[in-house]
Amino acid sequence: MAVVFLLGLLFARSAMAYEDLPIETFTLKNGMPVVLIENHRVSAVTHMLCYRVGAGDDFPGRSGLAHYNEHMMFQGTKKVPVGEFGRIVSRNGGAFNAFTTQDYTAYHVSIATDRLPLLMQLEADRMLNLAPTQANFDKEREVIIEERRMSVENQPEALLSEAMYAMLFRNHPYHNSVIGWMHEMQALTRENVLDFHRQFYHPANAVLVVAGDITRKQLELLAEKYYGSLPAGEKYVRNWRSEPPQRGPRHIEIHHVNVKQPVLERWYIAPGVNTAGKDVVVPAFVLAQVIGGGTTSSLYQSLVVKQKIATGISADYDGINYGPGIFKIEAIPAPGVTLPQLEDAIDKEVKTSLAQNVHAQDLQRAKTLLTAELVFARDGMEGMARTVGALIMSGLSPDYFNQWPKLVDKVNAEDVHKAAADIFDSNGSVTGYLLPQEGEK
Amino acid sequence: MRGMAVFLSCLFMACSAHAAAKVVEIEGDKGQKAWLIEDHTLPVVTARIEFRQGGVAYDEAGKEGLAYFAMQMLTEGAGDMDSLAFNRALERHAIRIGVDAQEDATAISLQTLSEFKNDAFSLLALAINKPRFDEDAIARVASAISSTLKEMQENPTYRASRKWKELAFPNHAYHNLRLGTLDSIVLINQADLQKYAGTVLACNHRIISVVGDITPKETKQFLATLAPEKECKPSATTVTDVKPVDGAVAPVIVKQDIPQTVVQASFPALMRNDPHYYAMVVLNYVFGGGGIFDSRLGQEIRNKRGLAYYADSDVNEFEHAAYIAVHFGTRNEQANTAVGIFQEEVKKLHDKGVTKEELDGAKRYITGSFPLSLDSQNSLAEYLTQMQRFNLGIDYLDKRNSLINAVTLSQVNDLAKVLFAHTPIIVMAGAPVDTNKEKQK
Repeated sequence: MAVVFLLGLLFARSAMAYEDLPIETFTLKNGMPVVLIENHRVSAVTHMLCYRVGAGDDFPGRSGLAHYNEHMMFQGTKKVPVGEFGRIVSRNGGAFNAFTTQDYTAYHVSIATDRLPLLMQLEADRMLNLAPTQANFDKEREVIIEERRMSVENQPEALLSEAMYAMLFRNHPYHNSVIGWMHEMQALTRENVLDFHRQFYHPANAVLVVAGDITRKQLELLAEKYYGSLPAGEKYVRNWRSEPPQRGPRHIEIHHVNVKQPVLERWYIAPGVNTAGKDVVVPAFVLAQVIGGGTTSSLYQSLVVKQKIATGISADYDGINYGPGIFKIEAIPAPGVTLPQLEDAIDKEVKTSLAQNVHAQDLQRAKTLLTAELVFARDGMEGMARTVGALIMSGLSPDYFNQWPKLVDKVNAEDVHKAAADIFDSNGSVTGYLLPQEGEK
Repeated sequence: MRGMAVFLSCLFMACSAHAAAKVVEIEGDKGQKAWLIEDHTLPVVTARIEFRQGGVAYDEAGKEGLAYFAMQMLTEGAGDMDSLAFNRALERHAIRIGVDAQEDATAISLQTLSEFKNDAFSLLALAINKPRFDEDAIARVASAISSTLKEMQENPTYRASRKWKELAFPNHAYHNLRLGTLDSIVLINQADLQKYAGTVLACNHRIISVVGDITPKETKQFLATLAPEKECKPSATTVTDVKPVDGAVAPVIVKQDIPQTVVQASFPALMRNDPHYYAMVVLNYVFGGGGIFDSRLGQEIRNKRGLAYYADSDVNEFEHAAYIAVHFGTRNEQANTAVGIFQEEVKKLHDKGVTKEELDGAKRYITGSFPLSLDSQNSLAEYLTQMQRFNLGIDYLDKRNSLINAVTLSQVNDLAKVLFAHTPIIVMAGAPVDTNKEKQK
């Protein structure tokens, strides 16, 4: 017994052996896929309808359209007047929301399992029968414009971010933000939305993800009844422009009257699961954790603790996308330090990370964190539906969730080094400075 | 579809035999108590410890931000581990520790894979019983907080709430700012932090909540591990009950050069233990808690007129004060119009109250959606904390829906006459235009 235990300690388990998440997939008779994650903690489900269309599919010159369409989905069908969807769901104890990304649009409702038939009727109806009035279009256009004011125009950091996306992606649709450019949003019409909705919103482009207290058999019956009978419609074949080679680093400096704390952002195009393959992104996640994922990271230890030239620094990577991934470094200069000085220090640290391999212990801790994340993510059905939905909308199988621990376990120092060499290509970088108004400190 | 809104069957929590999660009280050998929900669905344990009489309101004048600072320091070194060693120890097993500072109390939360819970509990105990408060870590955290404060000062929501606190609690410690000020932060030293540890962290007025893959016996061991080692010297500071002050006739303006004005308003409210608290929750749902489609504010400001992206209200319960807060944001040119609509809706509610249909709808949402908030360990731990803080009873989760269902129309409408008789404080951060009633500040 003691010997087995000792061995267990020596070969410290790098892949925590947890049960696979029970994911079931089936297809309705019209081809629409359904994914179920059973979870019987409370007698409710999260029902999430994902459409394989997002801001990246906005019509040319019509940025913000996919998001506007998402808003209009709550603004009335032939059978259900404006506001009734929300009221009916709420008064049946349901909590609802929706969101648009570059890649997809998702409508999620968490509700008692026995209200699913009602919900599915409503969802099937608005999937195909959107019919808001002109007044509702006009009013809701104002709402999305206020949303842009709130989340972008009121916030200098968001203005920088929007500008940096446009510089990082010069040809790829990720160039434009989900919310859209103000002048294009103001020009969006009712016809734009109806055309968009008609072109994309049908079962051929939808995936239903359900997490919660329902069995496959029960769900199959319901989904077949309410969605399976709908005409599939034409499957959308995405044909996004890709990004040409990046020939040199780009730089942008924004001075804004409301800035009191300068900020530096350094972004790179990075591997995405479709652009580079589902195995290649995993070392990039590890790299982000090691180089900038918290106070033990190399950027933080070097720039904040040792050199004291930053008060905070972090790295963030996401490659679970339909398009390319992005690797971001954000840093706050210490008082008296200029942004060029800070940028220099970051470059030196990036060079150092390219010159040496990550330490075994740092690598191990990063892998442990990344693996554990998916165990913690199982706590709560809405989070699960969203996590699995995001995988599917990136083109991955939902089972990627269960493959993840093994993929992480495989990552070695050499893989991380390769990822760094691939990502930290200064030609592919955009650096942003956010500064107070000129003449102010 | 209209008929769908009228559903005769009772909502699942209200009448199903399925009981809410079972809560038990565990007592430690030194008189410490914890409330536990044992749940083995996930191999994860979540714990939350609240330190009473140690929140932001207890910061002494000149040292505002101390409670927040002290909590930030708890993961910056403990026992014989400096910051780096301590954080590596957490990461090694993916142990998550978070800290928080609210008005009355501070809190530390833990989430761990159950296989590492013993390590997690030891590290947590070290953090709260033997924090190091190393000088270099203090300097680093002070810099980081100063940067955060500067960033917050750019944010109109923060600027509005800072002004609101001054107006609502002119002579009471609830006006203290959570992170303090740039001046007060640099005055906080090691002696202050050690004093905080001795007067707050070491003392036995802790609220402890535990949820997840852990038995009562293990919870008792957890309590033993957590037992304070330092002598407790409770602070002499007391915080008395206070009613937020009524507003002036005109909104108070916090000028800022941004395109969208952020509006925050408030009314004094019933305290948590008031017998009509549940009537107030129902009233708030109708007023602004029911979202875009099921509340007066949501409908009138957003859904009908498109004036805002958000327009809502919520109930805020401190131990010594309570208020209903209102939030909406709209472009400067419409800010005064939006405030006018808000005031109209308040008057309508005061004069005519809510309808029976609205009352029923509110109850159906509040009771029906209740289980949705019980589906994750984090939200269960928060509930357990609230239940202990306000003495709601260990069976509260089972009683809660019947308390809501017992609310009558006359209770709600009598309350509306009382609450909405007050003149609300209204703060507008931005550059509202075209009024001759505004009071410039």
